[in-house]
Order: sequence, then structure tokens, then C-alpha cells
Amino acid sequence: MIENIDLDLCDGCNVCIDSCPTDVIRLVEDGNPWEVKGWKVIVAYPNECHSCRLCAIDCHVDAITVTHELHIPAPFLNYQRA
Amino acid sequence: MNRLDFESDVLVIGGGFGGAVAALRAVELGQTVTLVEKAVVSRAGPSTYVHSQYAPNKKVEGEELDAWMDEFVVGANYMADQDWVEQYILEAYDRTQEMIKLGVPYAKDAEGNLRYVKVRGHKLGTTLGVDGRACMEVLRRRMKAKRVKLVEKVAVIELLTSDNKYPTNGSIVGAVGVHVRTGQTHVFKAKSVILNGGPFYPKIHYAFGDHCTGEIHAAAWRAGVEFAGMEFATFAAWSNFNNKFFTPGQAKIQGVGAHFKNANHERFMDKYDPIWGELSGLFQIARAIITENIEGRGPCYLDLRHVSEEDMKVLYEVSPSVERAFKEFNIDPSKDTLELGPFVVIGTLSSSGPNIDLNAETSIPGLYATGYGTSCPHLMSGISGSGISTFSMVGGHRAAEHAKKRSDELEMPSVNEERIDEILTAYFKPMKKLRQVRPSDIWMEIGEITSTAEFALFKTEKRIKHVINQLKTVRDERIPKIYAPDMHELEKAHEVKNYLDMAILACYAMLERTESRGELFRVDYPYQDNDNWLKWLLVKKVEGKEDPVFTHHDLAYDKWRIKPPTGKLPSPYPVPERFAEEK
Repeated sequence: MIENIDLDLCDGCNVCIDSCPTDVIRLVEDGNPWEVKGWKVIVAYPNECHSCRLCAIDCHVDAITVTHELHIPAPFLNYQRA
Repeated sequence: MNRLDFESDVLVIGGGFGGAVAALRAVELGQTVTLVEKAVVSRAGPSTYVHSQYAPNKKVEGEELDAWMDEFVVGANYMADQDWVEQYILEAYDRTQEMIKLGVPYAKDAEGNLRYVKVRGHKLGTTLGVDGRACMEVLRRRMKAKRVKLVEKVAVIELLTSDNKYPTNGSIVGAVGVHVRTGQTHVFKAKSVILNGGPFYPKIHYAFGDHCTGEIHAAAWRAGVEFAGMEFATFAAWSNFNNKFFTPGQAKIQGVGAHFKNANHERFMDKYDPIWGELSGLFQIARAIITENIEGRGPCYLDLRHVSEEDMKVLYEVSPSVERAFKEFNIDPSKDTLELGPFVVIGTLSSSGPNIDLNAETSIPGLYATGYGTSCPHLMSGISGSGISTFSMVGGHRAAEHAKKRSDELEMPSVNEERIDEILTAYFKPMKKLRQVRPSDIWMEIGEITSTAEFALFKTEKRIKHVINQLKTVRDERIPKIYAPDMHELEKAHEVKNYLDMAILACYAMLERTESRGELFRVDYPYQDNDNWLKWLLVKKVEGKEDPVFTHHDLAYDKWRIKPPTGKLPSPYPVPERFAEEK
């Protein structure tokens, strides 16, 4: 899971957005575009992150924290059903 | 939005090791090349997950070659195409030597020499440690320098056929793709097409394979490509720890002497696999853990407490992600045990997909395939994963050479505009009307149907047929109701549809093979039948028939050097009473 994107560090370079194989990260408008930061980077589809860490590896300001925490969808683990 | 058109001698679909090697070789031979990738090359698919590559440390010859081949042939339950195995071992050396020259950062020892190591399944064959991502970065830069046209974040949705028929009697003339974010149409025209689509897995966030759900498998299937080995399309793993996290490097954890224990602190693996025990394959271990759970002796644990500090150091060195994960979750393997959450799903291990010949050509002339997205002439079954990336390179190189000969004799084909419109209309349909079903709902339904013990572990004819019927109901009644509010969800809608088609095909193949071998275990045929089943099952889509059509392909043992065993070999696997064959 992407645990955190530190928006104070993030400079909006867009690299993580392209490095994500499952394409879950997006840059969106936030507040007034004429302010210093009129945008932020978000995890648009958080359930689809598969913890590959490519975004964190590619981030040149180390703004992204990825954990190994991960849940395989319950139906794929339920072998007790008769 | 304007459509983008591309024309080249060779079109490569998929940018893993095989796709990159094929593109580079084709350019070297004077071809124009376009490579299209759904993600970004070097940030895509299982190539980013690779830790080592099969790499013979010398040119193997003579009697020694037989011994090297033997490892693969026995590991593949004698089902390997021995001509392919021979070619693979010889050319694996050539391909890895090229990679070394290109500057791929393989692991070295303190003196700066390449460090060749042996992994599970091999006594002779050697591998080189490498970060797959770094290897792909080298190949990507090389492709850019050599003017390979890279088209990224574009998913290929259909192959174009010369006669506009599906299945085709002609050849492949190109492909249609859409940009995964903007939906912009991309039309590719080419004389030859090389597929490197990766495996097909369900989207369960395991092993970085979430965007390899069988798009290219399914497109090839619709175009009429003959498949092989679909009955072995079972993917299993056990390194899902404490229901919280997973790590790669399962074979390496087993290699340092891990113990698998049940809730009664008993080591149970010897009961399920008397020969290999705790060094058994992933499917065998996952199946044993689930059986222990079912019989009330769960949960089961991984125990590394007895492993020496030195051995753990070696493990962390070859699999740094294991150490990182243990640290992150405050696990001290010298004190803590880890609860195991194994799973068994329909998906490719390394022997299910388009059948290819020695030139990596499929049953359709001018259409080539390599890597995980082929039946790997069954040669990798049972062998650890390091083999597959090198196999992909060998296949890609051969495909490019053959494609070059072919394209010298051909004119650039034309594509049918009406057909392209039809393909796009069908593709965008889930966006047109508000409906209730989301792509993720379908994944859950597939999980409910296929992840039951009686299907995943204890197959019988009746149980397989039941699953086929349930999956067909999902396909016919639920898939047409999928709604996609944006491009991202639209791509997911097609991913789940393509996976479902391949899963149904795999079930049909499991029904057809009436024995137990490798990843296929059948309660109604609990033995390896070497007299009747030392052959491949080929399967094809035939016009006018709803069900896939199977043929049996005899293997050329009379001319091959390694001879197979005969007779029936009963499976040692104990079947719990409640899963016995129904009367």
C-alpha cells in the first residue's frame, strides 16, 4: 500500500504517475491554481496498489512511503467453504 | 481525439525481457520496429520482480549438455520439448553474454567477478543475480538509442487479421490499442507481430502481476492461435504472512531450511511429499497447508527460529525484500513464527499459453510469442522462476530473426477500417450506459467460484464441470452488465473479461487431461499415467463451435535422447474423506 505521499516534499514532477504499472496515482487540482501549489498528488485507486514500490524508488525527493501491507481479497483465500 | 497510426516491419506487443530483446535484434537486422506496452518499459509486469536469471556459466557441450538438459526434462515431468531445451541452454549462454556486454548490472563477488549461483531445482544449471528493473532500464535505454519506436501506457485490445475473421485463416496484419488514461486510439500496422504479454493472473495484488491479466493471451485466442498446456494453468503461493504482507523469495526461504508447522507444532510436509518434503514446489506446499487447515490442524506457521544467523544473512543478501518486510512488521525470525495464508488460483505458472515452435512462431504464420505468455514448450514446469526471463530472451531473439526473413518477402499489409470501428465500439461499450456491476465485483465472484478446496485442490470431473458452468454464467450474465465510469475502470473491465475467458479455457483443459501431473491433481485420476498421457493437449477456437476443440500432440521421444518412464505412478497425496470422489 502507498501509506503516504508527503505533499510538502512533492514537487509535482509526475514521475511516479508514469512509473506505476497499475496506473493508480494521479495529479489533481487542489485549491487555487495561482497559489504556490495549486495541485496535489493523490492515490486515486488505493485498493489497486500492489506494493511494488516502483513509485517510491523513482521519486527523486523521497516523498512516497510504501508499506508491504497488503490484503489478498478474501474470496481468494477462503478454502473452508464446503 | 485524433487517431494515431503506426507502421513498421515488426510490431512487438509487451515490453518485458523478450519484447525488448526481439525489438533490439529486429532493429539490428535492419527492420523498423514499434514496441507497445500497457505500462512503461522497465516499470511493467513480472520483469520488475525478477531477482535472478538463468545464465549458463559456459558454452555447454557434448555429454555435459545431456546432463544439463536432464534437469529441465525431469523437472518438467518429461513433458518438455527436448529440441527446445537444447536450444534454450545453448542460446541462454549467448543471450546472457550479450546482456553482460550491454552493461546489465549482474551480481559480482568481492573480486569483481560475476557470481554464478545455483537455485532450487538445479544441480548444474547456474543463475546470475540481477535486479530485473535495472536490466530492463539498460534494455530501454538501448532501444531508445537504436530508434525503436516505444509506445507506452497503451493497451492492445485486439489483433487485426488479414481476412477480418476471428479465428483467422490468414495472418496478423497489426493491432488496435487504446491509451490507458486518455482512451486515444492507436492503430498499428506491421508485417510480423511478436507477442510478449506476460502471464495471466487474477488481480489479487500478489507478485507484482496485477496488470498481467491475460489481455494478450485472450487476443491471440480470439484470433485463432493454438494453445498448449492450459490444464497446468495453476498458480500457487504460501508467502502471504500474518494475513498482512507478502514477500518474494519463497524458494530462497525454503532453501535456508524453513520448517512448515501446523497448530500442533508438527512438521507436516513429509506426509504430503515424502521425497522433497519442505523443499517441495509452491503448489505442493500451498495445497498441504490448506489441507491441514481444512482438517482442523491450522493455522499453519513458517518457522525460521532454528536457522543460523549466518544462513539468514545469506537469505537477506539474495532476497533483500524479505529482510525489509520482516523489519517493517517487527518480525524477528529468530523468535517469531509467521502465520501462512496460502492460495491456489487459475493463472499461468510457466507452461500455459500459445504453443510455439523452435522459431517462437505460433500456429498463425508471422505471429510470434515469447516469455510467460507462451506454453514455454512445457520446458520450465517445476523449475524455479529464474528460468523464464532468459527463455523470454531466447524466444524473442529467434522470433526477430525469423520475422526478418519473412518480412523481406512481404509488402506492408492494409487494415480494414470498418473492423477497427467495430473493435472500438465493442471496447467502449461498458462506458455507454449506467449499470450496477463494477469490474472489482466480478473479481470477487471469480474468487468465490474458483477458490474452494474441492475445485482448487481436489478436482473431479463433476467439480470442474460445475465451475465451468458457474464461470460461464458470470461471463454471460454479469460481464454484459459491467459499468466503467472512466478509462481506468474500462481497462479493468476488459482485464477481468479476458482473465475469465482464459480461466474457462483452463478449466476445459483440466477436464480433458484424465491423470494427475504437476500442478494438475485429480481425485478421480490420482496417478501420473505415463502410458497414455506423456503428450501435450493442444486447443483451438474453431469457427461455429462454442466449446474449444482439443487435439492430442505426441512427443518425439523416439528421436530424443532422454527417454520417459512408463506405467502408472500413484500420487502420494492423501485426500481428506469429505473430498473423496462423489459416487
